[in-house]
Order: sequence, then C-alpha cells, then structure tokens
Amino acid sequence: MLDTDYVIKKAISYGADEVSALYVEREMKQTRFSNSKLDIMLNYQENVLSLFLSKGRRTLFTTLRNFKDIDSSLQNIVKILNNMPENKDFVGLNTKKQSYRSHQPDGSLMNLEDLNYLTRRAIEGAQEKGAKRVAGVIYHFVENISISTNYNSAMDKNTGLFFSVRAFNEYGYPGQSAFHTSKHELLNDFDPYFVGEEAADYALLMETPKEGNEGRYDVLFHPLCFGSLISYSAPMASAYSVETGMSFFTDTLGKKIGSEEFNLYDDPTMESGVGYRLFDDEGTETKRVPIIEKGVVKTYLHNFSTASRQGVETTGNAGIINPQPWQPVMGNGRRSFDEMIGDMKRGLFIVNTWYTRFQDYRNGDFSTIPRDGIFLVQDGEIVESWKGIRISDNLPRIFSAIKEVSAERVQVKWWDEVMPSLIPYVLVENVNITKAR
Amino acid sequence: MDYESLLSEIEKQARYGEIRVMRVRRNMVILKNGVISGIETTDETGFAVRVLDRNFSFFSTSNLEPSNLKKTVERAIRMAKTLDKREVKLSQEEEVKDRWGVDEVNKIEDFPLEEKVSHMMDVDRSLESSGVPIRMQFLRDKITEIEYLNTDGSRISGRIPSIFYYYFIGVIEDGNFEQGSQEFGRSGGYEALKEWNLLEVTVEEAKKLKKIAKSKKLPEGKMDLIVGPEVSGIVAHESCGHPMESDRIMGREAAQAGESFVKPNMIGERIGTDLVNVVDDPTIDHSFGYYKYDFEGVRARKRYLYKEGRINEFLMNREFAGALGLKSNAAARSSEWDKEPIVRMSTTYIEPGDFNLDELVEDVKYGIFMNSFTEWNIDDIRFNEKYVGREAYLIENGEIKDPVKRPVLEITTTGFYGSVDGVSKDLRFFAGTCGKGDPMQGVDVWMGGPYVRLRNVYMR
Repeated sequence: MLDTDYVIKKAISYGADEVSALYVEREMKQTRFSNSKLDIMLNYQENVLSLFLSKGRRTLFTTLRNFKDIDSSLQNIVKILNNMPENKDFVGLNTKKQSYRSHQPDGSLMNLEDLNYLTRRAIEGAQEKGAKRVAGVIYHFVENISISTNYNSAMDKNTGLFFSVRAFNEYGYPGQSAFHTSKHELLNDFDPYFVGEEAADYALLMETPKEGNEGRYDVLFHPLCFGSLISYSAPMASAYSVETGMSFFTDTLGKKIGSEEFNLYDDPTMESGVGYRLFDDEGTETKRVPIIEKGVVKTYLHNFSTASRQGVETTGNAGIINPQPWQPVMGNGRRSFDEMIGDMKRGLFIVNTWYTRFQDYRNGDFSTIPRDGIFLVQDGEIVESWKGIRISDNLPRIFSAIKEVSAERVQVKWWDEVMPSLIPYVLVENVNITKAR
Repeated sequence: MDYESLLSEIEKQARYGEIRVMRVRRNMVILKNGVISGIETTDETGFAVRVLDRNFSFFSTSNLEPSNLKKTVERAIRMAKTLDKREVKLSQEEEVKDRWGVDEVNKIEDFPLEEKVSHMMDVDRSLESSGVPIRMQFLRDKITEIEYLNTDGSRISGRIPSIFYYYFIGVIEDGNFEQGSQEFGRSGGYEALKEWNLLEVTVEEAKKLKKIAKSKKLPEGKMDLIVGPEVSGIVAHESCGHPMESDRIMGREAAQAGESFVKPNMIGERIGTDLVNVVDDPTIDHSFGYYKYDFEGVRARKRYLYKEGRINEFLMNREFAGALGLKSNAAARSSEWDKEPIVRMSTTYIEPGDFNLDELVEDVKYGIFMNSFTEWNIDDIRFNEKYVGREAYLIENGEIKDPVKRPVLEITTTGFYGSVDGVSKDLRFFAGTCGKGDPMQGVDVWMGGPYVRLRNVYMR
C-alpha cells in the first residue's frame, strides 16, 4: 500500500496548505455473458491516488497511477497549484478528529475465485425455469482503501459481488433481476442461480405482450424499478446540486415532498451492500443520513465546504466538489408484496426501467421507459403483459402519491441505472403512462 | 517496455491477441454560477491486453513495471485458454503499420489555464447580465496517445487531442422555469473556442429560453413537423446508429443497453421513405469521434447505415463481422485504456437533401418547427422514442410564428423515418457522449443532420 501519510507530509512540505490523499488498490473481476454463453472474462487492476490540494483558496484535483517518482510528481503538482485561480466555494477540509468504527470485510467473499462457475449458475437458473436465452454480468472486487488529510487518517478493506441476469422467453421478451452483496451468507438466498430464476419467471410471465394503453394507473414498482428512480433522485439531494438550482430539492428543506410512507436514507454503514464506505473523500467518517422522513426533507448531502457555507455539519458525503450519496436505503412497510399485489383492483406491476431523462430538473418533470416485465393487474391477479409504454410524470408528485411500501426489501444494483441500494416494492397512485402514437 | 516480446508470448500460446498502451492527459475546469468549483488535471498511462483462445479474456493494469506486465499477459493467456469454450471467428483484416494524428492550431499543451478560465468567466458574466440565474459550465481538454499491436502484425500509433465544452443554464420567467444545455466537442486544439462562439451562442440560448418560459403548449393532435439539425442528429444517433450496432443485433449487449429491433436477416428491409439516408463516418476531419483506425487496427471508412430508406450496413467489429461472414467496418472503440473494445458509433448523421428551410416551411399549413430538444429517451430495442422540443415554434400557413412550450413527439422509429417527405441541404453537427457497455463506456461522438420535414405525426 502507498503511504498516504507520506504523501500529505511531502505535499505540505512543498507548499500546499491542505491535502486529501485517497488511495485505492483494487482488483475487480468481471464476466459478461449473452446468448447463454460466456462472452469474455475481464480483470481490472487499479492502483490510483486521488489527490486534492489547496493553498489558500486555490484548489486542484489530480490522480496519479505511477508512484515511481512520487516526490517529484508532488512537487510539480504543488507548482501547478500555485498558479490556480481561487475557488471561492472552498472553505477547507474537515478539521475535526474522527474516530472510525471498526469494519471487517467478509473473508469468504473476499476469497471468491470462480466467476466462471457463478456464470454457469446464473445461466442454468434461468434456463431450468424455461428461459430460451440468458445474458448478464457478474462482478467481484477486493479493494484496499486508505485516506490521509492534514487532520485524519484511516484505512479500510472492502469486498463485494454484484450481478444481473436478463432472461428471454421463446418470443424474445425479457425479464430481469439483479443483486449486490458484501456478505457471502446472502448468497444462500441470492445465489446467481436464484437471480437467474427470477429473471426467467418474469420473462415467462411476459409471454407475448400487448401494446399498452395510455392513462393514469396505480403502479406497483419492483425494487429494481423504484431503485432506478431513487438513483436519479438521491444525487439531486446533494447541497451542490441544490446550490446550482438544478434540483427539485431546491428550497425544500423541512418541507413535505412525499407521502408519510416515504423514508429515504443514505446509508453507507450498511455492511451487507457494496456501497459500504467507512469514510468520505475528505476523511470524514460516514453515517446513516436521513434525506426524507415521512415525506419531509430532513437534510441535504454535505461535504465540509457546502456544510460550512450553509451553517450545518458535514454529513460525510464528500465528493470534495459535489457531495454524493453512497448507498440509498428506503424504509420498509408492514405488508408483503403478495398482500399488496393481491389488493390491487386495477394497475400495473413494473419490474425495471431505463433511460430516465428530465425536461425540468428544478421541478422534477421526467420520463422513463419501463422494461423487463410490465404487467396489468386486475383484482389482485396478473391478467396480461404490456410493452411500448413510458412513464411521463413528475418525481415529487410520484413521491407524494406513494400509498404503501412493502415489508420486504431487496439489495439491488444494475448497470449505471441503479446504485447499490436497499429498496422495497412501492405502490404509487395515478402514475401517468404515455406511448408512441 | 518491450511489448513485442509480450505479444510473441501470446502468439505462441493463443489464437489471437492484442496489446494497447494509452497515455491520457486531461484538464478540466468547472464553473458554477461565477465560481470556479473545480479544476482537475491528470496524466495517466495504462496497459490493456485482450487474448482469444477458447474464449476472450481482457486484463488491464496501471502498474507498468515490466514484471507486472509479464504477469498480466500470462494471466490473460491462461484465462483465455481455460474459460468455457465459445465459437469465435474473427474477420480477416489487413495488417497495418502506420502512425497517425490529429492537427492542432492552438496546441492544448501551450494553451494557458488563465485563458480557459477567462473565457468561461466572460461567458458567465454575459449570461448573468442577461438575467440567467442558473449557470454551469464545464471545459475539458484531452490528449490521447495510443500504441496498438496485434498478433496479425498490425502496429499502429495514434494521437488525438480534443476539446469538450458543456453549458447548462436555467431561467425563471413569471415563475416558469426553462432549462437549456448544449455540448460542443472537436478533435484538434483550442482553435475550437473561436469556432464555437460561445459568448454569442449562450446568450442567444438564454433569450430564447426566456421567451419559451412564457409560451403556451399547443393542443395535441396530428400535424406536420419540421425538426432542426440538433433534433435530426439525436434521431440519427438513437434510432439508426444504435439499432445498427452488430453487438446489439447479435445479443451481446442484451443485459445492459439492450438489443435491437433490427435482426441479422433484415438487410434491405424498408425503414423509411426514399429520402432517408443515414451515415456513420469516423473519418470527418476534426470530428469529435474521429479516428483513422479503430481499436482492432482496422482502417476506418464511411458507412451507409440506412440507404434510400432501407437497412443497408451494420456497424461491425471483427467478432460480429466474422460471425456474419463479412469484413469489419472498423467500429470497435474503447472509451479508456482499461475498457474492452466494443461496437460504437463515431459521427452519425442524416444526409442532406435538396430543400432549404424556407421551402420546407412554406408547404406546411399547420404544424411545429422543433429546432432543438430537451428531454429524450428510447426503448432498449431502439424502436419507441420520445423527443421534447426546447426551442420550438408554431407554423401556420407557411410561416414560423410564436414559440411553443415543450412540444412532445412520441413515435416509433419506422413512424419517424416513414413520415419524412422533405430534407434540407443544410448539415450541422453536435457533440455528445454516447454511453454503452458494462462497465459504462462514454465515447466522444458527433451527431447531426439537416432540417427534416415529417407529415401528419401526432404531437402533444
């Protein structure tokens, strides 16, 4: 491991005032598969030092991957820093001494080697349920991460496994399922085989979908689908986004933007997920941050500078420029998914969505395209499957129309659309559905 | 480092292999409402090796110590020889030995930071004095140097300098919010800033947004529509470029970006009227997605994806060209040194026709002119899409009239191209970052086109 304490001492000796040195040593393995066959095995070895330096209000970010001449690299970087213009937004790094909780990564997950085998399991799970074609991805990583600032120093080790499976039925229509974990024991229930099975279940239910109809529908969102909406929303709770005015969270602190059932946290302390983080990019210990409780906005996500500017404490979400959520977690409800769908008079159950885009970030007007399972529910039963629809609505309105969330929650992560998160099934009233004409 | 000896080790033990070493120098400035909120500078070099034997393996590392590179290559070979077997037949391509690069007039390495910041501050001040409360700007320059070697004998060195600029602004008029953004990108040096004329372009955008904020929606219904080059560009990219990517067509992207409504046996099938010609061309000088050779060492060329309204030629890398019994048309790209090459677009555009804009407009009794777009999306087989107008106007009796608020075109791919009855002589390009792959790879692209008229489409 690179000695990050040495890095900051050297950078300070060359003239920097404050320095954050975040070093990550990571090996990530990946399989990609499609048409029920492995396409490629990939391996990424990464050693990267992310450096933030300030001198007065002059600031600079840089990354280094070659540490052979670290002293002269640092000397050059500080020279560049001296010529930077001032960043008036920068207040400083967190000076408060941190005491970090203890964290032990799961040794048996860390030692997981055979992704080829897990890939076979995912494909078999879907095929044995009747899927005709199976595609997906499996990732496994082990990382050592250390940080030093002028005021704090910490190290951590993380490991994780995340995967998604998309299965196609005989007519070419898909279902999807995805999962992430940092605990080997969770694979008992979420083995790639079972995730493959779930994807196939939705694909088989799809059969040959009909063209959907426009209108307002109650929608029961699968955790994957609602996780996507949350993954677009949570970053907008960053104080930086709010300051720019490009967020529907602007001017909402203490105000109600959701129903009583809507509770949203950023919880990087949840050890079972791959979004676990011990410290943020300024060395602040992370914590569970309530973003929305009973529909009311409780806090924005802060680093030390945004917090200082707004007269509050940092929430441990640095990004030194832009605070970020690590692992969104929604609160759960009392009843099960089966009970919720069983009580639906008429509505839709949607498994996944993608391509969420906003015509108005400030008010939250957006549309997104459901995929991988769209089902019409009548009197508690799935009666047909649909295709070709779009959700064209407003995010605060959707949050305000949450009628119920399920007791069970799922650790979902999919591609760049769904952050590592823990999400229940969510029932929303009167969602606006449109389609091409 | 002696990459030749690493390559010869692959040659001895595996069916095919390639080595890529990339150095990327990147500088970024972020300006938020008049405040520099971030400056970043990086200089990194990475090594990637891809080996094909029983199957493909891909390894990347930033540790360039010779012993680590040797170990990495050995692991990649071992992996490729032990994975579950899959039939892969790469297309046969010519051996290439070449050095290539893109010229710069105002060299990135010589362009001072103060000048970048000063230019952005000028834009910010003029926007602020135009009454724009929300102002974000992002400027990035990048020099990418590539060293490429494969076991078929190709040895290629390339150098691509490029500039990228992005603005996002928001105005509030009588309590109504409107947002506008645009990306600018070009391979070459800082002469780009002069070409883009950002001071004027951004203030013009602000003026238009203020008018749009006060405008009204039209009643929905069927009408004629003329789209501007920015809209025809995004349409070309989303509903022609993407569905014509052979990896989607063959199912390799199924779990992420999706598949395609186009199937391997659909060459020659009608997709639109005879006026529809859509091209992807990596060889346009100073285009944002310019390259002379792709990341498999194949010489780039212009490709007609849709020709005279019919499906004509897929975008192909060596794997899928081989599977289809064809030659690659050089569509393999990697966004970074540590990403595998996959099938990508470069500059995708609808080819110009014979009309001018006035001629297209004068023949419309009632309709909309959508010159630019804001929200858009498309399904994962690239058939069901939506474009929401940003700058848009009512057309009545052959004249462009008042602004219209966010008109929505929700249509299918064949619905769009099948409604085209007029294409103008103009051609403008717009920059973008195209996302695909897992892990996500954002590559620099241009998209563009002329003014295009559609008859009798449903607008809301």
